Amino acid sequence: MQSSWESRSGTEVSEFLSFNHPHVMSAKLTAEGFEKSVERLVESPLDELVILHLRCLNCVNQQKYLEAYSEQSALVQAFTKLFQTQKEDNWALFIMYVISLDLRMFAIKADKELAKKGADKPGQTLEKAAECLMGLFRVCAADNRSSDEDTKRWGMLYLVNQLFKIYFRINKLHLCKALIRAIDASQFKDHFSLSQQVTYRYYVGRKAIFESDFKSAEKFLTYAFERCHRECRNNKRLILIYLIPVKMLLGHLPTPHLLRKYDLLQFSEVVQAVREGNLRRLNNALLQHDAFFIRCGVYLILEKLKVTTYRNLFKKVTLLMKTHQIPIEAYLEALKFMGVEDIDLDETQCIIANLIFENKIKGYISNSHNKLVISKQNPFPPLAAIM
Amino acid sequence: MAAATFVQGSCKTMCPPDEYEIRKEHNLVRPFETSFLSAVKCYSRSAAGQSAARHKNIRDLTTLENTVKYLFEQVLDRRKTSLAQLYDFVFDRLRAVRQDLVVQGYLEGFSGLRTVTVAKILEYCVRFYIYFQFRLSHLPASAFSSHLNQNHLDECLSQLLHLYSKIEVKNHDLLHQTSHIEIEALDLLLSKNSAGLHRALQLPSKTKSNTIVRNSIEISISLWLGNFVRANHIARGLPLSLQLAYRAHFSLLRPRVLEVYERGYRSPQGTKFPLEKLRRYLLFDTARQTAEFCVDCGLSLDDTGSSVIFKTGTALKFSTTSQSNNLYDQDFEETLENVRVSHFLYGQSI
Repeated sequence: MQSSWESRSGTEVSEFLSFNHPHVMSAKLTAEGFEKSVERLVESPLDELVILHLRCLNCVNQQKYLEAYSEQSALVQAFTKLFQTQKEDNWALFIMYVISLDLRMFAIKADKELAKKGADKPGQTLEKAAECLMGLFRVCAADNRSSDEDTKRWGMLYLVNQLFKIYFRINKLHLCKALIRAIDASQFKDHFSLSQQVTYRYYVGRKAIFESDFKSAEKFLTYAFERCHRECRNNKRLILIYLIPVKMLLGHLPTPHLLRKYDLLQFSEVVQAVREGNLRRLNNALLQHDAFFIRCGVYLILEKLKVTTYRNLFKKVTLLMKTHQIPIEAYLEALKFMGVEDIDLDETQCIIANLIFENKIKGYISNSHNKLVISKQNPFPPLAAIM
Repeated sequence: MAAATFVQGSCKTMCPPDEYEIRKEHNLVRPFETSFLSAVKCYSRSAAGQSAARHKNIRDLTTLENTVKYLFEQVLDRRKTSLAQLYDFVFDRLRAVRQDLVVQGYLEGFSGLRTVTVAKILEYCVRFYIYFQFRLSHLPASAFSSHLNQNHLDECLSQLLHLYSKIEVKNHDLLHQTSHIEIEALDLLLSKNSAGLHRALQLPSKTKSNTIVRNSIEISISLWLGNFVRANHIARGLPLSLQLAYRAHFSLLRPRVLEVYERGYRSPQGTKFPLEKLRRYLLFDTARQTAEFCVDCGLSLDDTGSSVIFKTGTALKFSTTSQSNNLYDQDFEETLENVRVSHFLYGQSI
């Protein structure tokens, strides 16, 4: 360990401080009096880090996660001070990566422990972890005097992703804004590692969904999906959970093959319903998997697909009527037939007016004749072209 | 704010004696405050003062509860002057009540049944802001600041939701002693973006299955999909306080509703749309108000003045001077005149 430190071998040192490494299985490390042994063998400032790491290991072995978090937090803070003093040097970034990850993991477990005891505020440890990581982030972001090779700014995106994971978990999305701005302003924006970029775009895409900015969401999530490594099926599936509804809203339905390949059959009923313009089928599909959709946060976008479904239904009705001036009653009857309860002409007109407003129908409603007068050319433009 | 800096109030009168003396000297006593017994502590920005004696000027929880009851039953119910003046006085005094709650830490920690009392007081405040938002909206900005009222409503709501989450964690059963269902629904109906809906969808299923909450969710989703007609229709079945809140929120959507109908009905030759029909969609009280709103937005009326013309090529413009924030409605006015203010504020007119 000491020699790895002296030779500035970031990856080696990071392994020794990571909980992913097999060394954590060894009982010898946390035997009585380990602190003295460390002080004997390892020089400052590394000794402090090692001691904190081993203390943390001790807590983990006893399944005391709140205390483990405490130790890890102290470790990160000690590291932050140390990191800052390493001028024009970034070999310790590897260490930063592993201890940040472990910090977040322990915070999650600590919060679970607190919840069992009837805690005041869910996610309070995660919030503290975020503050800790922000400290590290500031050290990285401020390092703009060093050369491109040695600058700590390379660590920014990794930390941003960790912070995103926390903010999404504790439902404080508004805190992502400042981080996104920082990354956007960075000259390394497009040069960070691919996996970090994929993760980043995934979260930014999800944030865009939350803000109803579907065009941007599509852009980010498509990048994430296409660049995500073929073998990370789980991650690809996660991205699709958000990409599919967004693309559906923008007029592109997924193929059954895609849904089967990634085990996302919850969407198949929705897709079929929208395609057919079948409102009853859509409502049932949403009901059937509502817990899943709500948990993932896509329920609302799927509700918005009702508009697409109305459009598809009305297009069918219009084609059946074979005229360019269709009585509103025809659409009202179609909606009633689809099981929409308590609906009247007023509401039907409102739905149609919205479709015209969104350029999904080309035409206008004649109030005096109570008819929809559609354009003779392409009255139902393809959705993908409009959006 | 660290727990150590919270004060334990000891004042047992609605107005601290010191303050009354000072105000009497400087002629700052309001007409409502005919004697010391009817004086109520007013709001002051600087909560600073000698920290040793500070507790004497801060009312304890029971006194705060009684103060609110006094303001509602002896001032608002008695109705000795105009609504606007009553609002001014009670708004300020309620603000002071809330301030006393804050400095005693009642909005932070959990103190069992006392937290339920605090929640109740805040619920009364929320209904107060909604009630007057509705009844005074037709006044000019110099007489009633809708903006300020809205800010306090928002603040109160978020403080309440925070308290509910504490009560839920510490002692779930106590939640039933509050009006959390009504408030959750209110918060949803007043939410300006989809964040409120996201939150509501993640409420526990027991809360979500409550009729009021379920209807509020359906209303919000309808609005989100642009289905104003359905939203208005469902809203008619809501309890009174929620209907007022819905209407307050809906008034912000009026420009959008007009845009949709204009776009949906406009033809190259010009379509005549009856003002009476548009009035219903925009939730205006009279056709005249509707006409004023349309004209303010850049539209023209027909010769008879009973229809607005939707014609291709017209550009709509939206300004804040138009009727858009006017919530006045004859039917609701009559209902509210016949409901005792305090009953509404206590949540008894559901």
